[in-house]
Amino acid sequence: MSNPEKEKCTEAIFSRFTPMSPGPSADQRILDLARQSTARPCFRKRLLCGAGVAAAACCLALLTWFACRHWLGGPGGGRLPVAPDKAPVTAVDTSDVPMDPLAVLTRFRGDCQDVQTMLEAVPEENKSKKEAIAEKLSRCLEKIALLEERVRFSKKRSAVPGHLSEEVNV
Amino acid sequence: MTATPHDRHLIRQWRRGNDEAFALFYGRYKQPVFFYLLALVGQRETAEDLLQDTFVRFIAVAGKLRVRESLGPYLVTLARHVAIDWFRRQKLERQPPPPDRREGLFQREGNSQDNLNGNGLGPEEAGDLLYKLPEEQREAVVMKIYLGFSFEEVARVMNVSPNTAASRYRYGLQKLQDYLNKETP
Repeated sequence: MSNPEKEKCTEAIFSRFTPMSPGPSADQRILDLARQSTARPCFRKRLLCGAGVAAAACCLALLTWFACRHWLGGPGGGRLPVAPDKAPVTAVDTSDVPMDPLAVLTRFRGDCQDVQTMLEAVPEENKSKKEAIAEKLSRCLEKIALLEERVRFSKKRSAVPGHLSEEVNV
Repeated sequence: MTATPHDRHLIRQWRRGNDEAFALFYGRYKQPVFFYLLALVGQRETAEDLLQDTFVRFIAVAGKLRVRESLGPYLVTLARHVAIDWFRRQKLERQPPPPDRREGLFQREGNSQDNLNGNGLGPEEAGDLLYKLPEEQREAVVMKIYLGFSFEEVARVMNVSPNTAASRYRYGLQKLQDYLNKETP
């Protein structure tokens, strides 16, 4: 008998026996377990669904709250105060702005001219007024003299290359 | 255990809540898996416990399983892992090794004369001869003859190449033949 034939023969001998079977004790436990496990995924799905809906509702509520607070001025305390990015525009204060000494001198000369005209217009009898105006005129002339001196000084300095002219404070 | 084209259908039905489908599936595979485990551990009670463990594991993973073909090899692989875990536990817990006298693998039918095979081999003797085989050869013989696996399926369960599975089976048969020749002069 060849080897494959011997193998077939041995196989046939052993295949005639009926293998042992398990007792029924374990069956019910396994079937119960299988029944429970098919119920569990359904429960899990419901749980996940519930959690998802709750999370979505929370997100929606938060969004609404923020929208109310920021854009609609609603129940979140109204619109948030916005910091001004620029100071409000007021009348321009030019006190600190350096003026051209020549322009100032010209203005003062004009003023002194006016004071002199007023002084000439006051009659001789009104002595006190004439004295007051004369005093004002002398102060004005003093200022003019002072300004003229500064203008001269400023012209000298500005002749030096790169040097800025001095501010004039009257 | 032939390839069952309905395994996929049964598992799908069971996932949808049809318990009868699982009962059918369990009925189909409990006997072959139990016999495989009995041939490995040699104790009926232990094999029944391990059968339970195998199906418990299967139920735990069945939800993620993509069933394409017969689940027989998959279940036997699970059973094999369960048995290996059991052997490891026995070692760790310093349990006494399984007794030499192992429980019978085959059923007795009718009177003792009917049980004798062509060359006077009874079910108990046949079981004893199978137990004499080395574990790997015994596994291959059991899967091929009693579970009806192909060599590819045996190889998949044992995690070896089909050629290795075939040679383990052939060596096993050769040894059985030798034992038969010795016992029946």
